[in-house]
Amino acid sequence: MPAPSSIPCLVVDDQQTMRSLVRTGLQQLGFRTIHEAADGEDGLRHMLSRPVQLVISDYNMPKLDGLGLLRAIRSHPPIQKTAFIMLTGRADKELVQRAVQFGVNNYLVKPFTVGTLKEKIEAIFGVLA
Amino acid sequence: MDPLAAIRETFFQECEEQLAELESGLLAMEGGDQDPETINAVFRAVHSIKGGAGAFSLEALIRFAHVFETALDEMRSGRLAPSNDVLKSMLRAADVLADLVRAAHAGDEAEHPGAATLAEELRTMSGAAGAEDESEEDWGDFEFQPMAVAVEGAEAPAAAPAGFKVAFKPRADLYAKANEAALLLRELTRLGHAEVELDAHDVPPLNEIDPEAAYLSWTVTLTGDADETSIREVFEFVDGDCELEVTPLGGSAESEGGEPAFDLSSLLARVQGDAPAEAAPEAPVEAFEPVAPPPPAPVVAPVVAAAPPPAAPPAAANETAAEGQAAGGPRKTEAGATIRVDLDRVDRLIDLVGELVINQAVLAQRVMEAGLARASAVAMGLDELEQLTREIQDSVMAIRAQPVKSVFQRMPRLVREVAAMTGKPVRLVTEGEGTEVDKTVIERLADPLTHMIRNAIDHGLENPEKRAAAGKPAEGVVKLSAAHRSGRIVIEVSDDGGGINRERVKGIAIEKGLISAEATLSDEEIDNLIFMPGFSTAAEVSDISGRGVGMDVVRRSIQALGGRITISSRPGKGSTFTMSLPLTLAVLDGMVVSVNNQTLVAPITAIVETLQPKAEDVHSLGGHARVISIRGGFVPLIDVGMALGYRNEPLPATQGVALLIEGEGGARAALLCDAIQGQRQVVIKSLEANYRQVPGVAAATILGDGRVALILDIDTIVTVSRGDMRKAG
Repeated sequence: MPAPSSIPCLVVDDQQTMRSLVRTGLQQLGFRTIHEAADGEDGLRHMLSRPVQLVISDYNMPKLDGLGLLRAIRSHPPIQKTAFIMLTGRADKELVQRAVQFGVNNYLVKPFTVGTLKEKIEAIFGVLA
Repeated sequence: MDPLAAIRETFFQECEEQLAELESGLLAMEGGDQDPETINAVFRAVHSIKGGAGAFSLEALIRFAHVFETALDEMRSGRLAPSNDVLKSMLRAADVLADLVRAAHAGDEAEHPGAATLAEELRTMSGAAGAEDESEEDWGDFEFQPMAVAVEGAEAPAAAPAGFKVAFKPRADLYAKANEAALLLRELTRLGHAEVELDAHDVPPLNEIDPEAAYLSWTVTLTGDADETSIREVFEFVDGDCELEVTPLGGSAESEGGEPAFDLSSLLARVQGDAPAEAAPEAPVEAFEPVAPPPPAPVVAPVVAAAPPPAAPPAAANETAAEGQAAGGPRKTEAGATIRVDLDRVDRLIDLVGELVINQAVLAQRVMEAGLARASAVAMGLDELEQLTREIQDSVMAIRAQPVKSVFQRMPRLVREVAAMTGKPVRLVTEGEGTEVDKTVIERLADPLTHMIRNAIDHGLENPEKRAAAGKPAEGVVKLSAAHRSGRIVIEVSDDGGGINRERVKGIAIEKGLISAEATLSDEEIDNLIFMPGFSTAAEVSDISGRGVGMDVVRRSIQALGGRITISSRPGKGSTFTMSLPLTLAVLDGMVVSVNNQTLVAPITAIVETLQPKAEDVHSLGGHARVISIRGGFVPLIDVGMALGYRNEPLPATQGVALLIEGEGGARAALLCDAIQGQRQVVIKSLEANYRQVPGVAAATILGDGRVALILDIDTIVTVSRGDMRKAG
């Protein structure tokens, strides 16, 4: 039963609103170390200097989108094991399928509730303490 | 504040940014911009607004944004051509979206009048795809399986064993050159934990075996710290004599078939160019020559240099990182270089700096009074303090400064609307959007600018037929520009219309009794008549130029900001309104005067000239009312001491100094004071906030001697004194 406080996360979204919403949700679930990045490149840069265990990333972002970030993470050995949840605007089958190809761990459709967020994380890490 | 409420505020703030992005993107596309990133940014703006609206259940906004997003998606995918008509509708949709955002922010649930029709228009544009609704699409037989990971305590996954899958298939040549697959595999297993799988499927029945052929292949799952380079090094000498595939674990090279090529190393280089210190954490440090980056130091690290052609990502990354460092200055500031600060905190800081400025002035005066020499250490230290204080003040003021863009960017929409209403094609040209000025000035500029731009289109520009007759292009041009000039911001609104019809303006002014029929006025004076209260050239008040408010209101609001407005016009060429405004409202250039032993401050912007009244120029109108003749015209002479109640008997005019001032609506008056002390920049302190409102007094300031001086409210003094004068007369 992993303790959320021991799982550092990174929230990647070009919208401050979404980052704050995800952060608030994570905080409610007991996560303590939550970093934020404004686009895929920013996220990757962050992970290279401070690796995390969970990335929750938007799909549609400038510079490097969520799929690009996922591919980069999966093909760069030092960070390739990082769990990755893709945030999508709607349940887009094609997008989710592509994300699966690149090794996404789970996906989350906006708008979401804290309950859904918990479910999606627990499907990866097991029931949270 | 409830965290969600705070996020909601952030959302609306962000919406404004996204709306601006949306509009400028659409305008750029209208101007021929075909960069796919532009349409992407436009799409993303609407997509983000929809996403956020979803989080706060803003239904009307979600619905419209969805339809809009669908149409934009059609355009993004090339199924909908970005024709002018389409873009015009999109721009109108952007306007509606902006309205809906603001309505949602205000909690207004009223139906938007244009939303339904525009949504229908967008739906028609999107064609069949637009019919697809928000409900979950049919995923057919595809079922998503979340991928679980093991958590290793609090340890970051960077330390977790990474790994590769190595597929190795020797060709016959490999054996012919006396290489041994088993040795290579053994060497490979030294790099980490290896699971070796043999594939012997190709081995034919014994009687068919060719002893010199190669039939076996191996798949090694290697976990540990080894990187791709060291793995490939193992096979360095059999390169070309085997099939070798090295794939990172978890990645799935075989399934990437349909995807565009992905260049990790250049991405890493780009990203790390911004953070060179963190470059390539797993790379052996000796492999690089940090001082001279370009050649990757073959002497020190021959193995790395001799590695197979696709250079190992870390090496490439570091190389480019060093280059990026040199050229990467501006990029760094681009990311995360801004913070949002509560305005109250900034204002508190400005207040404190104001106090500091005053304190410094008081201290300087005290030191002077103490009779210390100019060259004394204390006096010199004080000079330095003064310098620093001024710099701090400027820097703090700069925090409140914002580019005028925030108000300029509201104008394209206005121009579209007014152009549609008047049937005049108009192009808006803006310049100097980055020019910065105090936030309050910007906020209070919106109304006057709106009014002036409406005027420029409605009254300034001729209709297309007239323009054609005058040999001008049918499309009129309205130009809005901003620039810094001698410590002020100058904003100009100009049009290339017919210019001011001076005959007509003069006729109207006479008709309305604003000037006498005999008056001889210069062209400039005639042009300035339009600023007089009650002047309106429109035969009937149109929808566009407003509710009977004229340029006098514009002038008043500019003056309230401590600004001036002037007009210049050339017949047939157009008119230009020029506004000059202070960069901040926290300090004021003042004329310090004495009245009955009191020290008062008059805003310099209101003062036209100062003069010493001569006995023969001053005429009494009975009672205490007097007028003074200035160059043949009469203006009321107002004794400031009387007006503010400092004295009951007027000061003989010849004993004082008169400030000729121009107040609201261009009304002139001469303010009689005892003496002028000098000009000074003063920090404005609100009297209302600290005491109460006093008629005739706009605010207060604290002078160097520590005393409070009142700042005169010129307009009120003039208006009140005129009332008195009428009674007296």
